[in-house]
Amino acid sequence: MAHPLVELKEVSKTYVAGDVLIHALKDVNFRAEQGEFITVSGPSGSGKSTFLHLMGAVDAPSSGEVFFDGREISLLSDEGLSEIRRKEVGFIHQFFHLMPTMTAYENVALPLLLQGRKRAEIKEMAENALARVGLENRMRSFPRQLSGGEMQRVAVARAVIHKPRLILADEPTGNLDSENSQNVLELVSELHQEDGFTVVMATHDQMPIRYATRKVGITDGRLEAAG
Amino acid sequence: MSLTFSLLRLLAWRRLKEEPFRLALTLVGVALGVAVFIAVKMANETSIRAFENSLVAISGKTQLEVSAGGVGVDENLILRLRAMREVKRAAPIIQHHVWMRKADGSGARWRRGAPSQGRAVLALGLDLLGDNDFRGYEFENKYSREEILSRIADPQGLFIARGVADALGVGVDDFVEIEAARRMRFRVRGVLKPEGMAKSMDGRLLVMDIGVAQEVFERFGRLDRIDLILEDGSEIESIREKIQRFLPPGAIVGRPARRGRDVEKMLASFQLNLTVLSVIALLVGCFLIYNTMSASVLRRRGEIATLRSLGMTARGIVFLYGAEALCIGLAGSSLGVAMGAFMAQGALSFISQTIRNLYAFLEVRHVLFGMRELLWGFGVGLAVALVSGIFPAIAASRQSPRQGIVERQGKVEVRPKVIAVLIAGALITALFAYWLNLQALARGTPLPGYLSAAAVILTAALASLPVVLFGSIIIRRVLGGVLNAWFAAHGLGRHPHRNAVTLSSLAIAVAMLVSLIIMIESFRATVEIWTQQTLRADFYAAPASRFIKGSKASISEDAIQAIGGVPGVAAVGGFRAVRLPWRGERITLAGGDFRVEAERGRRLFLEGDSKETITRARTRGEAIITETFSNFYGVKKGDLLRLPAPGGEVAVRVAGVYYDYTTDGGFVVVDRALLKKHWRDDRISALAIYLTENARPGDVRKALENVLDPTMVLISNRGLKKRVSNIFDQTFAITYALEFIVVLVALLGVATGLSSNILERVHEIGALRAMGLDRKGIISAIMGEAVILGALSVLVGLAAGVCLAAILIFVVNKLSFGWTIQYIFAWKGMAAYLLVVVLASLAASWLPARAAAGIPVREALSEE
Repeated sequence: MAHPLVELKEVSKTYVAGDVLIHALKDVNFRAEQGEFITVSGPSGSGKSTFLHLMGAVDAPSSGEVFFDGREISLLSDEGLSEIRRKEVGFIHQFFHLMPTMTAYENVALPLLLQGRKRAEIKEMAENALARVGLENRMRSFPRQLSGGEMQRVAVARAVIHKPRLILADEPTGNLDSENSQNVLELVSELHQEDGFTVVMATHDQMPIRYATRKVGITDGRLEAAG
Repeated sequence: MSLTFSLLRLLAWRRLKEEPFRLALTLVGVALGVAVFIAVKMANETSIRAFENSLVAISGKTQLEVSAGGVGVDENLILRLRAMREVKRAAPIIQHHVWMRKADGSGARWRRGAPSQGRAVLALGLDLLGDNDFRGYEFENKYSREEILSRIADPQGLFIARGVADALGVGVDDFVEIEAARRMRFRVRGVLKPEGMAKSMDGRLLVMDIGVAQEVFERFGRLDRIDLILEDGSEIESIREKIQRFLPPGAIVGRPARRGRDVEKMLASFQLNLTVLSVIALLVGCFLIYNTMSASVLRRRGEIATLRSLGMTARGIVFLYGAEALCIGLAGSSLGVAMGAFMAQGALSFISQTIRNLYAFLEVRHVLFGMRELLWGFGVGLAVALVSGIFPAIAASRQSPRQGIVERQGKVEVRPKVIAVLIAGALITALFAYWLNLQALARGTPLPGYLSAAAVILTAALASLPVVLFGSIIIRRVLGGVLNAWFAAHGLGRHPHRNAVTLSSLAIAVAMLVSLIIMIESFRATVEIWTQQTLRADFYAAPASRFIKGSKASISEDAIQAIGGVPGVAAVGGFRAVRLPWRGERITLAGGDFRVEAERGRRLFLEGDSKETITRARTRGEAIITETFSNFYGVKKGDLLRLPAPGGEVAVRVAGVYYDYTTDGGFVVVDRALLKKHWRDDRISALAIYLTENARPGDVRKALENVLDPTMVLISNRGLKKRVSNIFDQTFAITYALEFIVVLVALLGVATGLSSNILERVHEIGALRAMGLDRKGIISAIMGEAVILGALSVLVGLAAGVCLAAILIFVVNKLSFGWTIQYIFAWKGMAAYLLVVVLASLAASWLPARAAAGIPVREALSEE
């Protein structure tokens, strides 16, 4: 029987902030199949980011189980988790998280560098990735020399360059104007259709929802099906 | 590995390039630490090597040597040794140290420090015709065999090495004067090629025939040493034992290398003290790397998180940051090795001067600098970088990917449990330090004392974080109404870990400074009190060569008679010091005129009155010993000392133990009559001259100068005290120089720490500027932070320094040198030094503060 790409079973997550215990997620059950485009909507602080971090193996649940392609990832070592992030997942963040000391080309090439790919291969793939997001002329630019929309396109190129099976986008348009937001969403959608990866996108506005194949909502850490 | 290098280039190097000021400060700090360490190590090794090389060169092919310390051996012994079938060759040696100068015929009295005083040289009296099997020497000029023989046979001739020839500007057939038992004039009959023995002591060597040397040094019928070459295939140890049984009492036979070990032993404590100080400089450099790397990790939390979310493993992060620290270490070490080579030359000059003042004749000009030292310097620098960089690297690897993404900015929280653990740790370490001191005193070894000093430093380091936090809270509460003070204190508490590292490195430097000031000032005060109370003669006289440490120069006791007859002289006391082998080591046996000393002199005894004790020692044939001798050999008042003498062992009881700060080996002092009787030595090394009440010192001095040979140095009571003070200052000059560098490195830490803080507070500074705080306000707040940091460091350093000083005075010095030093806290001098440290912290903050004030508000607020 084929496994879902990502599955969360009875997952809860709590944080301690000072003296306060925060229940970020409560008893979440969720499955994402290969090729889906899922939006996760909810207000700020509802637990969207935590939900994405658990799926992307950057955080561990307080209770419950998280499966990636049938493997329970909470049982994996740092090496195992790092390998999933390195090969299977691509992140797109609201604040881009580009390396300020690296050029657009170097930022995009970084995942391949971490995979130990050969220089010629990295060069070809990074140039292609930047061309796909329309930044072939800004390869030598540093993040501080790029606009917000351009920075997010670099982040998108970096997220997809290594052909991951899962793209996790955390409010990718939250820091962009409406025109740039539209461009980035269309770009992600195009790439999704071309490459067939799964997209889980956290958002609190309506624009991304039109690209979704499935919509879920989060309120106070509880997952619910959205209309 | 290639990934680490790629990321180093793309991330670390580019980041560092953007902050050249901070990078430069870190590199200079590390380089200084490495440089000081290498400089002291190389200077120490060079000085030891100089002794060893000279020893090897002068010993030549000697397999065994017979000696009897300063008393010497009967010259007839050589014939008996030559008669032994195991002995192939036996060569006589007279070895002294003398001043030598170009003859000017002026007859002017020798005066220390005067340009005409000449140079200190090692004088060897050898059997020049029969010595070739032992040492071998060649003349620079080519002479026929007949000519060589005629030059050797010249009773007014001597030979010099190239070093002396250059230093004095003399050549073959020039005349020179040497200041031996009396001033004597010689003709240079040849200059030796700078090889073999002529290279020893940097070529400061003269050679004369053995017969001439006996006359010059008034060693009639005696030899300082007999060198032996054994028959081929001889088993040296068994022959050594056989010869030892054959020797008269007081004489010993041993391998030449033993003297090298004696020198190493003699210098061990002095060199260890310098090494410890240089290690502190390295330690402070270590803190600097830790500080830089911690700042780097804190500031790159976002980057680390991104790398982790892209799949970099925790181990990869450790490699990346560890490699960055190593690169800083590599660059700092390279710079440090280059700086160390220069500094070593200066350190060698200080160290060799101190050795000349306190221990032995040493002439060495150039630091030995080889590949081994280079590699050693690199190795130490890299090890320091790795040790100090590994903890921030591990901290970076422990950061979860989520943490950096969610909490890109923010205050670093310190859990109360951590503070409690640190305070408890500091208390336990302090108690452990106290226990170590008790152990050191109980076992009589200084090593636990050094460990205790390290524990005190650790206590200061552990206390730093709580001090930063509590200091920040207290200042905010007390000066909360003053915006800039509040901001300064807030800045301090915002990054407590890194500020604690800055504070601890400066506090350690301050602790070292405080402890050295207390130790040196206490020592100075103790010595001053001692000189005031014990140096009571109006004049002291000694042969000029006595001013070369280790010299055996002496004069005939007839001088006592001659001086005694000078109008205005009330009494003259003779003093004679000879080296004796005892319990496998060499000790100094001195003879004093106890009758004169009891009446006019005064020694500070641990217990008992000076006059009474010395009188008893004279009448009962007993000895008095110095405190240092007592501490080293565990000899107490009332103990019986069995000393070797030419006529057999002599047993003398210890009548009393007195304080003395002239040497760290100590003396056994007997009445000179006893020395003459048992050790058959009636020579005089120095004279104490007491004047009558109505005498005019100026007139008496003139009369004395007429009586004394021009080679005799006449020094007034005040002059001698001044000389003691000068030697004291010279001895501690290197200590102060090293300490200055330690404080400098720590201040570099303050500057880098503050600039790191500022880089992290760009948004905060932008917000304050947006709210109306002007540039001056920002500058004063940042500089205020530096003052608070400096003041807290001074507080922690002062507390630790007072404890360190107690350890140095009561444990380390006591057990290393055997001296009792009164603990004296020089408040005024101390306050001035500490104020300078706080002001220097303020100065170190000037550039970071200006940089903070120069941040454009718009950029600060918009920067992601």
